[in-house]
Amino acid sequence: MRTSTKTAVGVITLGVLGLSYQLGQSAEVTSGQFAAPVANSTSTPTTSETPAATPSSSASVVPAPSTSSNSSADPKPSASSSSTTSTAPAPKPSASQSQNTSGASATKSGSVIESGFGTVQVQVTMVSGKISDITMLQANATHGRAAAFPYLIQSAISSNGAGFANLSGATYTTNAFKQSLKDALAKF
Amino acid sequence: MQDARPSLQLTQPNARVRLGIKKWLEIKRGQDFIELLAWASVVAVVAMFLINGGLKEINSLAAGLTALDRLTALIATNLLLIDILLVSRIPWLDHYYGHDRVTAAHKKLGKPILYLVLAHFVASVWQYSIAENKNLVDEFFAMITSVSDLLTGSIALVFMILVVVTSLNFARKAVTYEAWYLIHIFAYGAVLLAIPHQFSVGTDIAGKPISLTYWISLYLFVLANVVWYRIAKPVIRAMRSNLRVAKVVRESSDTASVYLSGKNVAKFGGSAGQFYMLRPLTPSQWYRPHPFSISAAPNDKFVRFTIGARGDDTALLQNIKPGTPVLLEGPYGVFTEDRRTKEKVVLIASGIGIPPIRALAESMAARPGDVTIIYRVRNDQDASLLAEITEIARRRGFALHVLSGKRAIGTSWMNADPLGRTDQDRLMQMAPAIKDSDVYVCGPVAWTRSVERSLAVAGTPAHQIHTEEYAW
Repeated sequence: MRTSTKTAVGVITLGVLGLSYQLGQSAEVTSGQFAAPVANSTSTPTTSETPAATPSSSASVVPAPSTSSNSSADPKPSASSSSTTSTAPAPKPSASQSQNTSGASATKSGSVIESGFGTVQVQVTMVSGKISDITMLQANATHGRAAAFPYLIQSAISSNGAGFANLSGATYTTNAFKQSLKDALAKF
Repeated sequence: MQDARPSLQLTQPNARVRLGIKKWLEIKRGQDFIELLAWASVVAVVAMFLINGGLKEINSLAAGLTALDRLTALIATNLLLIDILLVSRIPWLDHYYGHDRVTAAHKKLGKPILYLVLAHFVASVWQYSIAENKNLVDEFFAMITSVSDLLTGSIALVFMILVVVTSLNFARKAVTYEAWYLIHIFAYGAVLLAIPHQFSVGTDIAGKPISLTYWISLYLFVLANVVWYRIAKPVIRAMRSNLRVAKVVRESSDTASVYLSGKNVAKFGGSAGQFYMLRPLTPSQWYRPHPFSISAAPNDKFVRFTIGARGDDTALLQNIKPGTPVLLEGPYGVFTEDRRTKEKVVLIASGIGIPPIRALAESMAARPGDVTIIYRVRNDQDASLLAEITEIARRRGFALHVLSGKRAIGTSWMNADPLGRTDQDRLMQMAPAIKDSDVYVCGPVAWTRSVERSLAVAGTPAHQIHTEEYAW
């Protein structure tokens, strides 16, 4: 290129990159395309507080069961706080459910998986053979990967299993999520 | 053998040519535009990275490595695709730069790309090893076994290293042409193998519509060009024209002309001074293309190459059997009248550099006296095409100077002069208007440099000097 052109191109380049950097600094999401940025990686492991812990998967209708909230119908008061225990062998009609299906609802937890970016553990609620809700018992993921969880939950619910495509940019987290999910599903 | 050829059939020379500095400026502008596009593509990729927050919150080693990992991968991929475009034989690239410059750029870009890919690889493994608390080796094996598409990506890296290493000058001499060629074919495989992980685990592509569109279009553009210009076009033309060796004619003790004929050879287009990649379609030769300049202006009867015995396969090609089918890729090169900006022209050839000069002398638009031909040869007997060039000069009224015999001193590009004049003086006497002429130079590399030095001293501007290095 001729020198004058070169200079002009250099200046424009610096401008474009500078502007891009500025835009990047105010960018909300750091990694991937995940829509809902989760507050901050760490999320509470189970017990008392109810859905708050979950990154509120939009699709879920069932409030995280097994804890205090819907004590009404449960024969057992669902001591499910610790991860591995299973809840609700009972039919659990649960008046509060918005699901109109008469199918049984059950909740199981998967094992704790180390993803490389943090630990992941899911809790799955099934209603008549379909995943109706997934709660993150542990949702630790650094480097912005935590933003992947709402997406993963949605994908798992809509595909009714762990057969959905890996989420790019969060492959390790996806794999850990799937592993815990499969583990939980195997218990049903 | 060297009888005069009164029967020499010549094509009608070009009726007119556009001259003037504006023509050169247009080419310059075209080059600037192409370079700008290439540069803009890299800037666009970096800008997309930055806009996506690529450099946001770099507060730990791991975060820094992640950024480096992504950035090097993006730039390397973009440059790699440009590098493939450079060897896809796109006509507009050839038109603005010429085949040799494009190929040189391709070769030059190889190493930086490899370094970027290696940096991407190391940063990526390192970054994940920090996140997973493993050592680098364990982490690497964990990645290629558990993460989709990283195994193929790693194989691609190995191929890339092979391609670059075998292309380094010292290694290029050690490996056979076949091995080198095969490895380069594998390079396309390497690129294909590397594609999946970019789209499946690449943070900067998936789910980002603009990035995704950009990358897919770039990939498709490169693919289309490679498939069309490198494969489809030459093959289709070969099938249509059914090109075969018509005859082989000895021109001197060590050169021979190969005439090719077929259907519609006039449709090949091209102009005097250009060259083709010639592949004889025989079991041992079809994968070995050889560059040869046409030694007669394009016409509707034949395509002719004049081949010197210069080792490798040229001896074999000189003895090629009539009837052998051949495949031509091209024509390429900017050693043509298209680059001419002045009324006066000086054509300078040495040895087997004569074919394109001979073709230019036949076809250039000129009045008697406009063109001066300087032909440097070892001796008159070994001067290939001398009878033809003499006949052309006679018919068209061009001055012809044959410089035959040993040179006097090592740096001279002329023969020994009985009067002891310098090259410079003799050049000025043969071509007094050299400063205001377009000069076409074709011969061995060192000789060409030497001529260029003389021209620089004589004051011929660089844009009026056109060279074609006869590589063998």
